[in-house]
Amino acid sequence: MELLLSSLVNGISFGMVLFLIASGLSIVMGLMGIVNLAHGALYMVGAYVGWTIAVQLKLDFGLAVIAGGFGGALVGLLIERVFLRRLYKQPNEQVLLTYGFVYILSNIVIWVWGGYRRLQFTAPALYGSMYIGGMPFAKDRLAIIAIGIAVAIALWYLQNKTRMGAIVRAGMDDKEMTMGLGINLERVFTFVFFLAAFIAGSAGVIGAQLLGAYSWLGSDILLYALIVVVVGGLGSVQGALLGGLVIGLIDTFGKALFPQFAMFTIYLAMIVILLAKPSGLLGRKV
Amino acid sequence: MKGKRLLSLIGGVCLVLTVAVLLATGCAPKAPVAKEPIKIGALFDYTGPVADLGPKFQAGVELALEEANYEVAGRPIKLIIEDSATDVTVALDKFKTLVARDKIHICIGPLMGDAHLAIAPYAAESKVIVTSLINGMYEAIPYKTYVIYPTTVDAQTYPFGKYVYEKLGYRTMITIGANYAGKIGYANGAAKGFADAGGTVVQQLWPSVGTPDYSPYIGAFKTADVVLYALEGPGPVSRFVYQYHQAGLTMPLVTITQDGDYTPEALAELGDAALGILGESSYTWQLDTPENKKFVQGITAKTGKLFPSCSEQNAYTLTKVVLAGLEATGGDESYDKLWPAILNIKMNTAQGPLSFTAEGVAVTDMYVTQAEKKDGNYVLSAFLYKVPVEAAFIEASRGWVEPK
Repeated sequence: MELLLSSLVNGISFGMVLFLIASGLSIVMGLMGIVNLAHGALYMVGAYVGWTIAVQLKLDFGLAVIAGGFGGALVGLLIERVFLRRLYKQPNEQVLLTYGFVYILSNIVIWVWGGYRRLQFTAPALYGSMYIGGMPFAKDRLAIIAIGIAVAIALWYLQNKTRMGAIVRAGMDDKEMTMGLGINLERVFTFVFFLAAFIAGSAGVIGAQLLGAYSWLGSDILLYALIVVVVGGLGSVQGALLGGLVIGLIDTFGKALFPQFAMFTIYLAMIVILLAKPSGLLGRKV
Repeated sequence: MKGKRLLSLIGGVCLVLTVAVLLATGCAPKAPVAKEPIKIGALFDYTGPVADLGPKFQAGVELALEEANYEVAGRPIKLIIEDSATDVTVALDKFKTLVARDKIHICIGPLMGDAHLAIAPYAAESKVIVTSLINGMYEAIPYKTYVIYPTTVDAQTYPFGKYVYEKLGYRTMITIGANYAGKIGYANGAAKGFADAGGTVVQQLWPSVGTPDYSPYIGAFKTADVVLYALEGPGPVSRFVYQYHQAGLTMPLVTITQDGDYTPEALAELGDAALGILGESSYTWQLDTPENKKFVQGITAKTGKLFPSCSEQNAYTLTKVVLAGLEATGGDESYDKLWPAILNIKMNTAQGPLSFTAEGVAVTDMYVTQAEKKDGNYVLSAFLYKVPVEAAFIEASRGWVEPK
């Protein structure tokens, strides 16, 4: 029972981090048709900016989350405005360009912050564990679950209940018709890219409570995020949430129950889900 | 008059012959010729999970070479350093480059046990002597090109396993070790020592190298008297200890290679979470010997850091061993001369007395230390117990079978 409960909390909290990183990647792919492999590197930049704020400067952790978000967003905006806007509808070139940015940003991180892997960090109030029903649970993991739920609700609301969300959905379904209605879709694209990069940067700080910050984090987390997008389905917040939770739980339970197969469990799950539902669990047909 | 001319002619011929003989026998003064340098390669990790150890090893090697003025037996020394990136394939590629392109004669490092196994056949084929950095692999012994220091991974932790049972009084143990040759050897050596002393190992877990989140494994821990962890370096160790603390578990932790993993930076990051954790170390900077005082003084002056670890010390001592070997051969770097010269070395080092077995494995003592808070700083204690390591442990520590 203890194994089940602790693995459940571990899996859901890790799944929430995966949801945060994958939601932006999924929307950018779905709406803009951009394969942004640098999305994980934006997460990494956010984690390091957050580390500087929370650990080096000893400032508030909440401020670190926001600063990390802006760190990721500014780098993301630079990549989109200067490079990616010239490569719309050219997926091969996008893949090469954005994967190149993974290396560039990783090296910049080594120059600025050094090759030393930074330890997990959290708010002082979230340090240690709390007992629920006689069992200890890490406070930072419970906080991550709460943040993940809040962001999921906010993104769902933004996508489904606001005018901006309606434009985004319309753009995903029929770009030409949406532009024909007089909507400046390029500006919407830029906003969506900025938002996705902001969430990635913030997720870097939130996720640093579990993973810390290191120079190859960009490619490590990207792999997880791509699997979540494939499993959850492209272009939906709900898909990213479901995919994140499924992969987080399978990864955690796999390591806890079948540690000798820990490296394969999520790939196995991905294959099974793709065979059953090729467009992902909640994928939009775009 | 005629006789006089004849005598002059004979004298001239004699003079020419004398000069010719002198030239032929090499007695004539020669123009000075520069001696070929001895090339020492070094494979350290500057990137990857143990990136923080690379600069420490480098500082240790450089200090020893600076003390020798980058010269041994009248020959200059050239140090060529490469980044092995905590990656076995990179280590192998870089080693091949050092041998084939740079024509190195000796290589210090790499660190990781699986990298030792990967490069050992090529090192033996090329007759290049390689030194481990923090312990070496038993499987590399037959190649007879590996200087294994301070000892094999299993032999180092075997007596510590016994210590955990006999001195600390724990009867059941869980081990968690990084899933690669080196740390599997450390964990299994300790498990064998613990079991040979009468203890029971209830569970062994093997997270992969670079695991970012140990919580799934921590959540799967059974109940035991003590948890022994053997992870791949300061970063992973800190992550594990932090997450163990966050998970609220209370089983005591013990560890191996504590001095290498609990760097001042790591201890400062961990804070109270590491306090009280006992571990085995091959070195402690607090040893009160003239050799250690000289080393600590030198490394402090060089790096500005007050507490050198086994990383700096091992690299320093191994370089001293290489230099002593070269001194004994009169600067002959060939394998056939240098290998037996190294095996014959007996010296007092910063770590303590050092000798080698006939197979190239060092025999040195180990120390038990503890993370503590002193004058507001998180530090490792002076050694609480000296663990004598015997050559016999190299074989006794082998053959552990994981419990099902």
